[in-house]
Amino acid sequence: MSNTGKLSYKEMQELLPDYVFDRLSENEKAIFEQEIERYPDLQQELSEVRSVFGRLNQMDFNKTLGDYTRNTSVKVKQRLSAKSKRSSYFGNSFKYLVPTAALIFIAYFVFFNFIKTKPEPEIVENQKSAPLLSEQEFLSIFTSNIEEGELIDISQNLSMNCLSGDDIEEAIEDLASNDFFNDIMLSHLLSSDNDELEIDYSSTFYYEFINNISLIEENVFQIILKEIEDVEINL
Amino acid sequence: MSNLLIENDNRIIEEYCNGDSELAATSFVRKYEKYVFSIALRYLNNFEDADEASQDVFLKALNNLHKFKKKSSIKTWLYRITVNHCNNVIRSKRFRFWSRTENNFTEYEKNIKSETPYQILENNCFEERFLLLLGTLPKKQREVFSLRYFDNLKYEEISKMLGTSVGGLKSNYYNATKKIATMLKKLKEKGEI
Repeated sequence: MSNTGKLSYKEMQELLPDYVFDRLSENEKAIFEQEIERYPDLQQELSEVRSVFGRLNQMDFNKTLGDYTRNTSVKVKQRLSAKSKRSSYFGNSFKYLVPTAALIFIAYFVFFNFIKTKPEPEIVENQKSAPLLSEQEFLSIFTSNIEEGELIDISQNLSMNCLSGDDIEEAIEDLASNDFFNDIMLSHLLSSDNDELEIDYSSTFYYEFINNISLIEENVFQIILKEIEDVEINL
Repeated sequence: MSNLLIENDNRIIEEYCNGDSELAATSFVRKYEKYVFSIALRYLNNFEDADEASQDVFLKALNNLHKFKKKSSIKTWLYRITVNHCNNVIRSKRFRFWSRTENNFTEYEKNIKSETPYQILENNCFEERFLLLLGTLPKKQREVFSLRYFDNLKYEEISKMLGTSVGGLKSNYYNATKKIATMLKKLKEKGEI
């Protein structure tokens, strides 16, 4: 209500329902009755609202609501006791069952993920820094004389520093099973007929070798490089 | 209310939390059953659903009575629980309707709003009809009218419940009163009241 004592049309509208339903204080009521003289259309509205709500004010809504809510407390009590019985039967088992099931579930996943995930072979520092050979140097290796015994040394050298633990065995197996390695390295380097290895650059195997060089995996390639680096070569 | 029941809210909470639960629970439900039922009825527009919803609300409230912080009145707290519960009921009904008919939500909306205020009034006794009639008003108008007219709450309290300014509430209250007056006037002219 405004401090000046004069109420705006909007303020009078907002007071109208409370006036009709007798929710205003004596003071507010007096001000409203005094102010409404200035608003004839509000007077008309007031008499209309009063006449239709007169019937509503006589109604006993409490009784109607009471008819519907008569048994609510009994129903709630029954449901409460049923719930407490249920919780006494299953309460404890559910209390522990759910966390236990969750723990088993988590443990199962952690365990199987651990088994499935094999650690990648670690490349030790000196392998990473193995010097790369130029194409000429690389090819020159295959034109040099290599004895069978020296190949064994190569494998031994390979196993000394580059890889650790079980990974050495795995790396050697990979090398041995690699078609490229078998076809090119073993068949030519271990040729029992020739002491001196001659590479025919015009032959198809040379081109295969060049074409397939990009297919060698990085770690295998590094191993070969390391192997080559450690070999004593007589050019 | 029977003299055997506890009337004071603080005592109800204290006794319920301290184990004398039966009397306290009954007192609590008896004190607020009409209030909760009328809110549920306004939201659900169906007497059976409102009855079931008010039982659910009391179960929730009693299970959480120990958490009631007394920062607001019990009425405000119960109002929030009831409104949230009714909204969940409406959502699940809407979903059930939608999944059953495999139609979209608008079909559901059409279905629940198919009864006009005057159709509602043809089917029930006047008090019941009037309570259902309220459901046809816009939500804010319906709520402010009911909380002010039936529950006799102060604007400040209603403002906390509905999250609306007191000025906005007064304006909604006036509009609701005017709309109800218009509807009642038409019914009176038809001789139905």
